[in-house]
Parts: sequence; C-alpha cells; structure tokens
Amino acid sequence: MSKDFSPLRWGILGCGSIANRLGADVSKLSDHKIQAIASRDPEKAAKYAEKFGVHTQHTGPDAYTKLVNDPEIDIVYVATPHNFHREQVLLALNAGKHVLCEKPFTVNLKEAEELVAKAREKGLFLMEGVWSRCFPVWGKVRELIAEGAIGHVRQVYSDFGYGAGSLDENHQLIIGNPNGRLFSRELIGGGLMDVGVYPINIAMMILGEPSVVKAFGQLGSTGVDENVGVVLGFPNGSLATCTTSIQVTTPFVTTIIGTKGKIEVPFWWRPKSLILTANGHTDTLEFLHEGEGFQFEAMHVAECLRAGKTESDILPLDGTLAVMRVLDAVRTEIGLQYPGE
Amino acid sequence: MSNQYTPLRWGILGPGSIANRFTESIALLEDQKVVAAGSRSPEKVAAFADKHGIPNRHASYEALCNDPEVDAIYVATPHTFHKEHSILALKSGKHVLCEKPFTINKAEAEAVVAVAKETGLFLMEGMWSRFFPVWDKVRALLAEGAIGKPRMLYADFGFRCGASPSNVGEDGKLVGLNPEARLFNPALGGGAIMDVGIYPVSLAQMLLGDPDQVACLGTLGHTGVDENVGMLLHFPSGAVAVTSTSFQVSTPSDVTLLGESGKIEVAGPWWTPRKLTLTKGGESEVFELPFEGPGFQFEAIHFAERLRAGYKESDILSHSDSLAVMGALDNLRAAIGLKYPME
Repeated sequence: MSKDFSPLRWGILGCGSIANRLGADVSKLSDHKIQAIASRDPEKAAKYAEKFGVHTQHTGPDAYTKLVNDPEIDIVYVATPHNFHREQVLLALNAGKHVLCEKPFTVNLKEAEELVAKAREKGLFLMEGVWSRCFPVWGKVRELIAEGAIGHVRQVYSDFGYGAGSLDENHQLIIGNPNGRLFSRELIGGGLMDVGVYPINIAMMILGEPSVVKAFGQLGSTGVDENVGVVLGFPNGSLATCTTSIQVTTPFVTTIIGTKGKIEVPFWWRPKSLILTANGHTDTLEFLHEGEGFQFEAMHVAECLRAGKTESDILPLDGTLAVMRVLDAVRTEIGLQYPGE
Repeated sequence: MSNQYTPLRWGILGPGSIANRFTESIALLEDQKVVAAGSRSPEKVAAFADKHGIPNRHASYEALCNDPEVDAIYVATPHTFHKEHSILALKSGKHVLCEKPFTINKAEAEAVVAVAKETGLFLMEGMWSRFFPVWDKVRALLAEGAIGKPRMLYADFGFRCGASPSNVGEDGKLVGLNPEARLFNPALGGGAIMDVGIYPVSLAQMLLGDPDQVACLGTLGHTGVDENVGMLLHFPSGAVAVTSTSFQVSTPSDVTLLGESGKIEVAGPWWTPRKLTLTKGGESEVFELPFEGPGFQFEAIHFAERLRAGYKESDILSHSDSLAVMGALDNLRAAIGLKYPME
C-alpha cells in the first residue's frame, strides 16, 4: 500500500553539524516534518529538538534503535560519521525504514554493496545524500546537456578542497589534533572521503562510470590523504579531472566542456548559478534559493517516495556503487587503506 | 667585446606560420634583426623575405647555416625535423633557438644538447610562454613566498578541430580530418600532446620542478594520434599538476596555481598572458602586464641577453628543464600507446 507521505516524517540519526544544516532547511518545508531526533547524548538531542521543533527525542545508549523503531517516522536520515554509515543504515533498513544516508555512502564498495542488497531485499527506499545533485542548477545542467546545448561532453574539471592549516618542511600539514575526524584513519579521515567524493560524484553524474582511474596523492603525517589529483577516463574517450585537498582551498568550479560550448558552475556543490558559453554567447543563469539548499534533496526524496520508488533517478544505487568503486580505485592508487580493510 | 651580438642577427630556418610571428616580433626590437631566411623552396623563401624585408635568401638549410652574417638560427620547421636542423645549425657554428617541442623525444633532445655542449654554442628551446612578463612576475612572486609552498596547478590548452557542426563521431573520435596535416599525422609528430599539451607540461616543470611520476589518459583517433587527453603530474614535494589538452574541444585556457597561503590565476590565453591575479588573505591584487606584437620578442630578448652575457644555456629554460619536459612527454605518450613511426 503506497502512503502519501504528507507530511514526510523524518527521523534524524545523529545530531552533528550536517544534521543541523539539513534540519535548518527541512524544518521550513510545509509538507515535511522532523518527527524525531536520536542522539546518545540527551542534551544534544534536546537542543536539536528545540531548535527545529522536533516532536520526539530518542536518547541514551539505544537511542538509534529506538529511533528506527519509532512508528511515527517514515524515513531515517543517517548523519553520523562515515565509519558508522554501514551499521546504522542496516539498522534502519532492518527496522523497515526508508533511508537517506549522508555521503560518502560507506567506507568502501564492499560495505555499499551490502547496504544496497539489503534495501533491494526489503523493497525500501535508499539513497546516498549527495545533496549537490538535487539543486535546480544541476537539474538545468542535465537538461542543457541532454538537449545538446554544448554538443558532446568531452572533458569535465571539478575541484573541492580547503586549506586546513599550514605545512611543515616535508610539505605535510601541521596537525593539532591527529584524532580529529578529518585526520584520523580510524574515523576514515582525509580529503578524498570528506570532500573529494563530490567532484568524483558530479563528474560521474555527467559522464557515467569511468573505465580507467588514475590518481596521485600525498598522505600526511597521520596517514590520510592531503592533496590529490584524479583523472577518470570514460568508455567513449571523454575525461574528467578531479582534485581534492586539505592543504589548499581550490577554486570551487566545475567546468563541463563540450564540442559546441561549455558550462561553468561556480560554488558547484551548492550552486546558485551556471554560466553557459555556446555559439559565441555567454549567459549566466541564476537559480536563487533560500537557506543552504538541503531542501532540494529532501523534496526529491519525498517525490520519489510519493511516486512509490525505491531508488532515486538522480542518484540511483548503481550510481552510488559506481562512485564507491572509483573511490576504492583512487585509494588503491594513492596507497590509502583504512583500518580493518 | 662589448658590442658582440648587437644587433643580434637571426637566420630563420623554415619560413612557415610560426616564423612569421617570430619575425614580426623581432621587428619590434632595436638590437635584433632577422637578416636571413632559408627553405628548400626558393618561392617560399622569396615570399617570406619580401614580406619582412629580409636581405639574405637561401635555397637550402645548409646555405642558411653557413651565412657568415647570421649569429643565431631560429629553427621553425615541424617537430620531426628539430633534431636534424638544430644539429646542422650548431655544427655550422650558429647559436640556436629551436621551436617547441624541442624534439620528438628525450633521446633526440639529448643528442642535440650533446652537440651544443661539444660546440660551446648557446642552445635554447623556444617555449616562448616562459618569457612573458606575466610569468616573470609569477616566478618572482613564488620566489618571495607570496603564496607559500605551491601545492596544486591547473592548466589546460586545447582547441577544437574537425568537421562542423559535429566534429566527434559516435566512437568518440574526430571526424573530418586531413590525415596528412601536421597536427594529425603521426609521421610529422602529430597529436595534441606534442602540439599544445607540451605547454601545461612545461609550465608545471617551471613552477613545480621536474615531475617524478606522470599519468595520462586518452585514446588515439582515426589518424593514430591523441585527440583528448588528461595528464597528471606528480612532484617530489607532493604537489600535483592537473592538466589537459585536446583537439576535440576548446578548453578554458586558464591557469590556477594554489599555494598553502594563496593563489595565482593567469587569465587565458595563459601561454601569451597579459594579466595575473594574486589572492591571499582574502584580498586580490591584479597585475596588468600588456605588450605589443605577437609576443615572441620576450624569448628573443632573453636569448640575446644571456648570449651577450656569455651564457651557454638559459637559466629560465635550461637544457635540463627541456630534457625533463621531453622525458615527461615520453612517459605521457607511452601511457596512451602513442609511438611515432620514426621512434
């Protein structure tokens, strides 16, 4: 029996920064409701609940189990650090809940395959929360490419990196807290899994699954990647170059180059405009929006659920598996393995 | 002898399109002069010499290289002839400025450098971009630590070739090419890497040093040369250069260099630049460095200055720099299976 999901009742699993950012945007949507928040820490849960008018707080050591079994929620948003995604997505799916899981989907392809198999077995909706893909700008870019506005796409450049400190004489970051999420191998640290997933994800949205992956990267003093360049080769001969860094702040531009023109998207992971150059003209198309833009991902999830879909058409599960396969390949190239792999 | 090489007297070997632009640039300089041109085709030499008012016309490269009124030869023939013509000029006692790419591969480059060392003559690769005022300024900014340690370089150079309006077929390869044309003919050292991909590679070598690893992705087109290529270079410092070249699409033609404390952007076309932007601490400063003419004068000025100062090679583009670039190009080509028939 299909439900109308009106409003779509969210259960938020984890109340860190990303959960707060999504909460701020989703709590303003009229046909969505943040029904429940789960955190082991009652104070954090209370603060979150107050901030976004959340109905139920699940706290204590089994907070997450209580959340996924809450009969008043429709979908769980998994917003914990990367290394917990597998366990918590399984928890939610096994409890019969649909799931939106923050990027990166999991630590590696093997974990991702397990989650996808479980969702398919249960017939539940599962999507990786790559919010960028859901922005109106990217909807327009997909449309422009499909209608041939820039001809055959042959090259894509995309970057996402930010400087997290200064460097020592070995060109490695001087790290204050090696146990911090960004630097710890145990917490799946490094630039690639934090923000490098974005350029790879968007390049693959445009060009599909690459047949060849090459990468160079530098590992820092804590053993995670700090400065990485990737080139992806696709079966039709098109290419993507992707960069990520926690040593330098990159330009934040995605450029899509076709045989008849190009599209540039500034601040491309949460874009408000695109610049189309074709036939000798350059046009800037603006798509302004309120808030940060997490509403687009939430609205997309709601649309999928209301249409009875178990996967997103903007980011299908096979797409997520392909991205995880590429991330594994990049890590092999740069010699980055996580504990337990 | 203080007035030696004043004016510096050039002989043009191979009066094609690049030689035209070089000669127009020399005309802007008071202390340099193109005095001779040589080609196997007397008609070509005559037309070229008439156009630029060049007195000495030679119907062979040998005659040009033996012209006693010539101090230095500018080798402007296709890539595949660079080795032969540079060696001819050096062995005739002339200093040499050889168009880029220096040669077809590193082995050829080593052979030319060996002759220069043997003869004690000045030899430089004509990678003209390096000598523009904008790149002088970038080198100075880097030397004074304006952006800290450089970590990542983005550079591209590609231009669209082939049929119109659709130049790429379903197989992802160019259609509508003349397979005999220099750009597309393997026998003439064709392909995007050797024609324009060399620019970002040479730039990366200038800014980040000799690469210790390269990776390259690209497929060969119907004529057997590369048409759309992504090139990654890695440096001992852990810095990375992300570069691309293409005959299938016109790329943005921009350069961005990211350092630990700032960035430098050079607006397109960065190989003949007029402007750079330095950004640090949230503030941007723009340096406008305009110039007249095609821009080949800067490499010629540098060449003459160093020659007059008694150098045997350039300090901005040394033999070792050119050899490192040729070595990188060898490895990039090997990675995509691009081997030329003469190799």
